[in-house]
Amino acid sequence: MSIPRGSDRAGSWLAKSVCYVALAMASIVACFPVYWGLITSLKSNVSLLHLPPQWLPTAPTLENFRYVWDQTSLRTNIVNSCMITIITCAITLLLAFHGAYASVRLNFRGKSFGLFILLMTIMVPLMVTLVPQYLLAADFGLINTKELLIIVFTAWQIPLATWILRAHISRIPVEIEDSSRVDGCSRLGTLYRIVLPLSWPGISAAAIVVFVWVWNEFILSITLTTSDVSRPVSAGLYQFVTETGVQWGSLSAGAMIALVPPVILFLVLQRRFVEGLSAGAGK
Amino acid sequence: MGTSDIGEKAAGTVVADRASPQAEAAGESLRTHSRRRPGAGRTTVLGWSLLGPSLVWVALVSFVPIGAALDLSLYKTNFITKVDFVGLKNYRDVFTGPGNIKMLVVSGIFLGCSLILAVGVSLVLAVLLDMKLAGITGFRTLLMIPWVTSGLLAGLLWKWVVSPLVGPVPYILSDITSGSPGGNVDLLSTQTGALAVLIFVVVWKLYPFGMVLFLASIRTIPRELFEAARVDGAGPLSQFRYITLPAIKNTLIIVSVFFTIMFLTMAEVPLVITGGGPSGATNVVGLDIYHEAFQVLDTGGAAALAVVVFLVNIVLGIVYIRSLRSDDI
Repeated sequence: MSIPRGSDRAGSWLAKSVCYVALAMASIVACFPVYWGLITSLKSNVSLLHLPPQWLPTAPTLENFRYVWDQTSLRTNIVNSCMITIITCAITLLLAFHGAYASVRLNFRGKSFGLFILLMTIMVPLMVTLVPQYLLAADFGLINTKELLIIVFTAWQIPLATWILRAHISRIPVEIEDSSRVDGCSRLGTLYRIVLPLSWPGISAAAIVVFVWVWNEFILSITLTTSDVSRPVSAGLYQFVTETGVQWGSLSAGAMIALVPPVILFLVLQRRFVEGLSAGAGK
Repeated sequence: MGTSDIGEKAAGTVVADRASPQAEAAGESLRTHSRRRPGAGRTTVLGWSLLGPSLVWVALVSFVPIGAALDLSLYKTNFITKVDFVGLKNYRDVFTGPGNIKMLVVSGIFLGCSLILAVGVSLVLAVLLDMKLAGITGFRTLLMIPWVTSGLLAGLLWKWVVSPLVGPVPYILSDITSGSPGGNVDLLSTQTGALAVLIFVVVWKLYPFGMVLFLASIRTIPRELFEAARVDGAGPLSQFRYITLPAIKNTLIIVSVFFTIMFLTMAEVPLVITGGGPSGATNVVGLDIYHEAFQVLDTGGAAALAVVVFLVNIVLGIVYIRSLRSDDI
C-alpha cells in the first residue's frame, strides 16, 4: 500500500497506526530469538529449565560467560574468525572493486563473457563444490588451515561483491572522471583519486555483506576444519551441541559473544550499508 | 548478445528499475566511449588486468571443483575413492532411489512455501518502511537483525524457543489451545509441524535480504506518479498494483532468483533444527547433499544431486526472467 509520502490527510492517521503496529509486531518476531538467547545466557543452569519459562531472569548471572570465555576454545575460535573474516574482506573488496570498475567503465574484448561467467557463479550452489573442494584441498594438504577458508570464502564472495560494486559505480557520473582525465590524470589515477573516494558507500555495503556472510558461514567451516587451529567461531559454537544434549547456557553465552562483532559493525555502518545497496536510489 | 544481455541486465537491475535521466546519461556516455577507437588494445589489456584476477580466483576455486563434481557424479564412490564407472546411474537414483521421492517432494513444498512467504514478507515490509514515519530507521535496524545472526544460531535459538521442555512457545500455544498452562506441544515431533517450523525459520533468516533490495527499488519510483494517481482517485491498493508492482519487476526477479538459490542450497538450518527428521519430513535437498556426501559417504550420488540442483537453479532463473521481464523498461 503505497500511501503518498508525507501525506497529511485526516484519514491517514489510522493508516499510520496500522503501519506502526505491523512494524512493531514484525520487529518483535525479528528480534525474539536474540532476546531469548540473551536472557538465557544470563540465567544460571538451574533456572534454565524452570517451568513456566521466565521472561526475565530473576537472578541474572555471568557464570555462563565466564565459563565459555575461560574454559572453552571460544576465544581461539573468535581470533580465528577475526583473522579469516578480515583478510577475506580485504582481498575480496580489492579484487571486486577493480573488476567492477573495469566491467562498468571499460569496454574490452571478452568482457561480457567474463562478466557473465563471474555473475553466473552466484547461481552455483555451494553444495556442488563442497565435495570436490574438500578433495582438492586434501590433495594440497590444506584441510584444517585458515588459509583454505580464506581462499574458498574469497572465491564465493567475489561475484556478489562485484555485483554490488558494479551497481554503485555505474551510478557515479562519467563526467567527473572525464574532466579529471581531460586535466591530464591517467585512467588508473582517476580510479584511485576520484572513483575510489566516491565509492565508499558501495564498498561499505559490500564489506558488510561479505563480513556477515563469512563470519556466520557454517557448513564449509565445519567441513573443512578439524580442530581449533583453524576453526572459526561459527563452527566452534557447535561444540555446545553435544551427544548428551544442547548446553543451552554455554551456547547462548557463546552465541552472544559471537554476535558482537557483526552487530557492532552493522550498527556503525548501517547507514552506509543501506545507502550502498540502494546505489543512490532516492537521489 | 545473449550473455551480455543477461549479465548486464542482472547486474544493472538494482540501479535501473526505472530509467532515470541520470542513468540514461551515464549509459549514453558509456556507449559513446565504447566504440572501437585507437587505444582499444590498451583498454583490453587494462580491462583484463583489472577483471582478470577476480576471474582467475573464482575459476580456480569454483570452476575446477565444479568440473570435478561433474566427473565424480559418473562414478560409484566410497568417499574419496572412485570404485566404479557407472555413467548416469547416480542421476537416475536421484529420482528413483529409496527415500528420494519423499526428499524431492519435501524440497518442492519447502521451496514453494518459503519463496512465497519470503518474497511476500520482504515486499510488504519494504512498502511499510518506505513511508515517511517517525522512527522508521529504528524499525529498519531491528528488522535487519535476523540476517546478521548465523544460520546455526537461528536454528538453535528457534529450536530452543519451541522446545516443550524449556521454550516459551509451546507454553503459550497450549495456553491458547487448551486453556491449561504447562506446554507440551512439541511442534518438532510431527512431520507437518517440523516442516512448518523449518519454513518459518528459513524465511525469518532470509527476508531482510529481499526487504533491502525491494526498499531500494521502491525508493526510485518518482513521487509524482503517486500524487497523480491519488488525484485521479486511486486508493492505496490500486497504487500498489499499478505503480509499485510494475516498477519493481526486475527486483522481483532478482530477489526470487536469490531466494530460490538460497533455499535450494540451505543445509545448515535444517541440519541444526531437525537433522532431517522426523522420518525425512525436513530432509530438504541441500541437507540431503550434505548428508549423502559426509554421512553416507556416497560422494558420487551427492555430486549428481548437486548437479541436478544447479540445473534447477538455472532453469528456474530463466523461468523467472522470461515470465516477469517486460522488455519495454
